[in-house]
Amino acid sequence: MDDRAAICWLHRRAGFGITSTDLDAAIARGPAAEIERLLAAGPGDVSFVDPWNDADLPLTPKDRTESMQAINTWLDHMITTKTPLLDRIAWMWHGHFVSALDKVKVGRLMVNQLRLFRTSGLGSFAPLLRAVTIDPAMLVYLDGATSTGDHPNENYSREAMELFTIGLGAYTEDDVKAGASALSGWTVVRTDGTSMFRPRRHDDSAKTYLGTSGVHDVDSWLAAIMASKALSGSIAGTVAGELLGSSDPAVVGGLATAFSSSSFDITTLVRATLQAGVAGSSQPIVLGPVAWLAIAQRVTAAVIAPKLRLVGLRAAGQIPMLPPNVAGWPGGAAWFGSSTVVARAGLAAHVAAAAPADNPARAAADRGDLAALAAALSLPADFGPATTAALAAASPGVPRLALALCAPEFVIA
Amino acid sequence: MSTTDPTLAFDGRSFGRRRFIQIGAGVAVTALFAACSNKHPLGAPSSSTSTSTPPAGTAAGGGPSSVPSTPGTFGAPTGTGASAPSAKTLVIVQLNGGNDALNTLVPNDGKYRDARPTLALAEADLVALKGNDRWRLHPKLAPLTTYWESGTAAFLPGIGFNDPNHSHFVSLDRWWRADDMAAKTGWLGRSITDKAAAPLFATALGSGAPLLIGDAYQPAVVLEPAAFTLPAQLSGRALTALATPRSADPLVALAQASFDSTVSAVGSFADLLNADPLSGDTVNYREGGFNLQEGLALAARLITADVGARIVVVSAGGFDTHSNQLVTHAALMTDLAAGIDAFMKAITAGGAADNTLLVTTSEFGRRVAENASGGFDHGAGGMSMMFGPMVRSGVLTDIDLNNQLDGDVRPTMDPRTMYTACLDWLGADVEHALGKRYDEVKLLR
Repeated sequence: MDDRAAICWLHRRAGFGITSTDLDAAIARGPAAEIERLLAAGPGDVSFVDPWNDADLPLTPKDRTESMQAINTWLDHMITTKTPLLDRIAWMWHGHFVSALDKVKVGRLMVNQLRLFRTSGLGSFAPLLRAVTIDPAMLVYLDGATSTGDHPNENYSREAMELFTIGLGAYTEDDVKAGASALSGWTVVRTDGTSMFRPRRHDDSAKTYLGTSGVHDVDSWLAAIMASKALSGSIAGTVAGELLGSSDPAVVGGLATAFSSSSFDITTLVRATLQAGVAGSSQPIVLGPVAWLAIAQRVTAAVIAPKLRLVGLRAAGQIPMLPPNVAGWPGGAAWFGSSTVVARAGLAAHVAAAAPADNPARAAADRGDLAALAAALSLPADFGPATTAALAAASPGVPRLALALCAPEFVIA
Repeated sequence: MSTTDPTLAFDGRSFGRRRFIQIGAGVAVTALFAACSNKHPLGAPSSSTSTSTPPAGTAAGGGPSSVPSTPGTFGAPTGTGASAPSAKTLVIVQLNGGNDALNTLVPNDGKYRDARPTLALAEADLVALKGNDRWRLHPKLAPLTTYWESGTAAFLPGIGFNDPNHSHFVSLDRWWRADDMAAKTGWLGRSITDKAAAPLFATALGSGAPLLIGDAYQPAVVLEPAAFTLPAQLSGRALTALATPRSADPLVALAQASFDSTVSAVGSFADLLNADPLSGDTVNYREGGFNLQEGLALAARLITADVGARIVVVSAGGFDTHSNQLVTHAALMTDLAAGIDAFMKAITAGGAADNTLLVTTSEFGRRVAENASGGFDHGAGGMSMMFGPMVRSGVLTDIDLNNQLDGDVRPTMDPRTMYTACLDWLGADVEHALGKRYDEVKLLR
């Protein structure tokens, strides 16, 4: 792909779109430099901000209104973030290491987990996994907080292997039980929302876990997971699926090697993935409603009412912090289900109506300049023939812009 | 058996399992096959379903069908949307997460109490099933005794596949695909052979329904009924203009096909919304779908409103009760009983009760013994319920807590037995959907 297409690809896949104002500078830097620039913006950088205020998030399970505000704060942050790759990766981990507000109930615990994904999501995998394992929201969501050594709760132990790390086929039912036992004793302190290890609730006996003997606590559990041959391919597959849309064994295998030979450094894995994408290993992916909406609001500068946005996203099937189950959201073709198509049209109409008249996309929609419209929407190429004809026939202004946001060229990245 | 197909990007075997599940959780894969039929001369089920016994002559693209196509029967052309409430309708209620079967239909068995010192339901609270000493219901299921006493309720304890796996997603997948793990379609979706079936012929409420993935027809998905309408600035005509000419790119073609099917479904749904507008401007916390009262109320409206709905899947989550079981499960049972009871009353009032079969499914039951969190971990054999005047009323299967499967209820009836009954009742082709018949237990009158 040419530099312009590569920059648009990068920001639609690994960020939340790019405005036409920012696009020219990024093209001038070139894709290789842009990947490094995106990877460099992290904690410690002036561009890194925490969008939430704990004073707005009581540690009570009845903070429904506050939780909805926290979700909206996150959506607003995605649209305006100066650290788009970091936030896009945090969004990926949120759909991977799943916890959900409807069971966790305390919005602050969910926000604290998201903070973990933002601060550690591009670091080394082992400390990230350790932190996720004893994260308070996770301890509530997958029941570690109530597990004891006498009667271990298997929920986290099973899902951590099946979905979060090594995948089906790499463990046995005995491993599920041994892992649950090794992780017993971690609880949540309700008054301050932290986790605490309580030795009296823990079974410290040595177990054989994933073929390793002597596993008895979270650190020996972690070491056994990290030693599993299945780990690098499984996580590389997740990242490749998310950013490349590819499951090509040659591509995933190469990424897995890069990952394991860097001592499981996530930045190394993501860099290799994005470089592979720019080099042509990318397959089309369907943007989920949240990423789609964030890109749409960013490129149109539209601000829409929080309640309208959450109702629309619910109908579309994707509200942040409320994934449908422990596997996260469905993907791909699911986003062409009729409910999502209808909800996307509704949200597109709100966005188009809220776009300022001087926004380049809105102005191009007014004029009927479809090449300029595609460019202003940060699309890597012009619209195809069906969309071109449909947009030409649409009414100028809001209807044309709304239709463009629903077009396959905008929904498929 | 599998065949190569350019759409292998959508084949579970070329992705990790999780990836397939995520794709399968929607329903639009089916449209890909339809959209690509020009590129795929093997668009018939023998290539696109990869069933182990591809039937002869059943075509996705309008060829001869092995399913009877008498107007008014299952799979028949009903493109006009004409469907009286007298047409047979199947409602599937999915209890996602793995419902605790043993605290839903409770066996009169000392082993039950021994394994559940704190979570066994109190003897005095259980609801009797008249004439049956072996089984009683959860206290909150009392409204369902009406149907037991009128002879229109069946219970199937021990339902589940052999060699169970405790994974939610493997288990769901086996239920959805009727245990044919090479199949790319769902057991019910591959029974729908008519491309021109009404837009709401098969409708999923609350979440996508992979069991409806088929070769010929794209089911509707409704997550937010009050919002299932197009905005003023984006007409159906404008959206469908995006759909032609069809792209050669299969994913773009899939997006294009979704505009056509969605605009049709919205049109059919509009009658319901106009007749009695819904209020839906709240954001629901319940994971995995509607609450059942909301979902089943909408299902009843779809069936009685004469919009061509013949298969309705209602999904509800929250059944993964690893902890705090007593309170959570009581709320779930209250919702389930109220939902089914209100549904039955609504379709009776609408004249559709004689022709509606409702069945419940869940990916597995839970462990026999409780854990330390006041809950139950993933188990094996579960329990399905069937409601309608066509069912053989009774507790039709049994379990043996003296012969457990490593702490789980050992499955005693293959779910495909229930599928066979559903398909038989609909008049669909059982061998096409399931490979062969499973009728070791008689479930219908």
